[in-house]
Amino acid sequence: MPRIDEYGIDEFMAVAMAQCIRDGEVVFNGVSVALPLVAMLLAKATHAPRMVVIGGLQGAVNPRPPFLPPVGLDWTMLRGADAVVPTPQIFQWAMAGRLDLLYLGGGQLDQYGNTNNSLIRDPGREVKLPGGAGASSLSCYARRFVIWTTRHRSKGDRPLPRGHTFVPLVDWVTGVGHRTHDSTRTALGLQGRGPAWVVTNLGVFDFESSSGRMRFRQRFPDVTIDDVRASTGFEVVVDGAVEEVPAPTRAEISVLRRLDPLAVRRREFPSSELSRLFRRFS
Amino acid sequence: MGKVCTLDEAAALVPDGALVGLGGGLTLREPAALVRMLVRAGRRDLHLVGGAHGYAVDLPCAAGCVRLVQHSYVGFEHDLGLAPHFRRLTQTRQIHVLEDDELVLYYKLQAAALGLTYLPLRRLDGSDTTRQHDYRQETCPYTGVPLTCVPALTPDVALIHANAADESGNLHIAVPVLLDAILAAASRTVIATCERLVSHRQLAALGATVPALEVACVVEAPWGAHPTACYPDYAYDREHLLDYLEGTSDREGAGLRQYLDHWVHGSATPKAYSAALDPKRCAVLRGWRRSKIDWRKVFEHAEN
Repeated sequence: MPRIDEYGIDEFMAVAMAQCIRDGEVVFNGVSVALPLVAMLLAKATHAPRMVVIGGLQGAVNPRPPFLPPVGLDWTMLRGADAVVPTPQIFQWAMAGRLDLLYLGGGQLDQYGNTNNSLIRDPGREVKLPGGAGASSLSCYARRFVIWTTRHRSKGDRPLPRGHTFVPLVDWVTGVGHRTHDSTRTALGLQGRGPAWVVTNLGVFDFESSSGRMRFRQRFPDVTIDDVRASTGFEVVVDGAVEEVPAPTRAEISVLRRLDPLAVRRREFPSSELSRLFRRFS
Repeated sequence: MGKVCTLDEAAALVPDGALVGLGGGLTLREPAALVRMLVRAGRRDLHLVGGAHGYAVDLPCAAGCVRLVQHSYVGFEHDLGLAPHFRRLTQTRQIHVLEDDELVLYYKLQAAALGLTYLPLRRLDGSDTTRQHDYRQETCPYTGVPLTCVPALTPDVALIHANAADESGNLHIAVPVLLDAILAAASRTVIATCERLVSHRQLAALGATVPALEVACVVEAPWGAHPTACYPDYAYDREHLLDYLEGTSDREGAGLRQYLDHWVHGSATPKAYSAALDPKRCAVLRGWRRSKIDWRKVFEHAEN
């Protein structure tokens, strides 16, 4: 665990994910657990006090959990909530266009912001992933969504681009991005505007509006553009300067540690990533 | 009137090949005692349907009871990882998977509960998860808005674990109810277990989440959701799940046979199952509400 005068990539990434939230937005943590929840609760406690946190399928609205558990459904998440709504009410809000922002992860991701939570088809073998939970519908309905992964780096044990989390086109579309192999989000008539940001352990990306392709915007200070190119299975769009991800404030780091005293956020990272430490604060 | 029965009597209501809906989800209030009942009864070719589950899907898959899994998520999250038997058996095509979206699944059950044959949703398209179902794409006859029609889904049987029930079959389920209420309303037969049987008056005071008219039978089964949580009675048993995941993964299947012998066949009644649990561990799982520190103890292995 990092000391008081430094912070880890898990904390830096959570802060970067929190920055995707604007004050007043209604935000759902989607199909994943710790890191998006840390980001949401952090945003609520710092720059976005009027946002609405919907904590998981248990329907906890603005929960104040005593600590974050390592699982998605637990009574800790009901504590201090303004309301606990039935699960279907979240689905109603989504379909009625009342969810502003959603976080989606994925075992495989592509340049158009499609997520694969279902099935990886490597030559000669298939790998079954757990499934997308609500990703295939909520990616159609939420106003925008943020894609996140802690596994941007190349595995290095398989030929390109198969060794990458980021591939040109996912093997199976679970969450719908800007463009699939045969259509675009606009042509499909979907309600939501699709992925707005991608936050990874290497940096922050948005999407080029003309092509719907991922565009590199910010890098973590210990990451170069070449690192990102070497770890990505498609040509990374770079348009203008790539800046450093803004350093967190001391307040953000201390709030984050208070919110997640069990550090469950760290469980989402490959252990090799957790040795990355940073010392510069804003 | 009385709908109280034994696990064996309840098992007789589930034929081989049945479409079985699972209540609860992930590590919360899974109908574990009922799933173990089906394994013990040697059911085959089951078609499981549900939102997001771990143990309640992986165990019957491991035991050879399942033909098809229609779920939105099967696994043990970042905490404990993949569902090993589900994954192995689907990759070798011994079990088929039809991934369904959690939201869509809810509306399919809603359609069945309403007595409708389908429901129109806002347009769903673009994902392979959606497209493999071949939903009819329509436009609203009034406004021209793009819609997607999803067919009703009527489970033969719903398996639900409730916090309390009365003899006539009213069920009280503590929040979050998840998809249990809609699952009960949509299914032909509802089989329930409960932590405790209470009087009609006590149940009415708690509030009936699922009314008796939807329920076929109820079995009193304390620890009936174990190793998942049934708050406020107990939190999830992380150690047990770890033992299950690590202990049953050997290639020869010896660990799995041992697990099934001990926890399924050797603990055939709710009383026998409760007696097989370690009292010290039970005290930790029940002790979550004493203090924040006690609550954290449930998850303590999660600390890095």
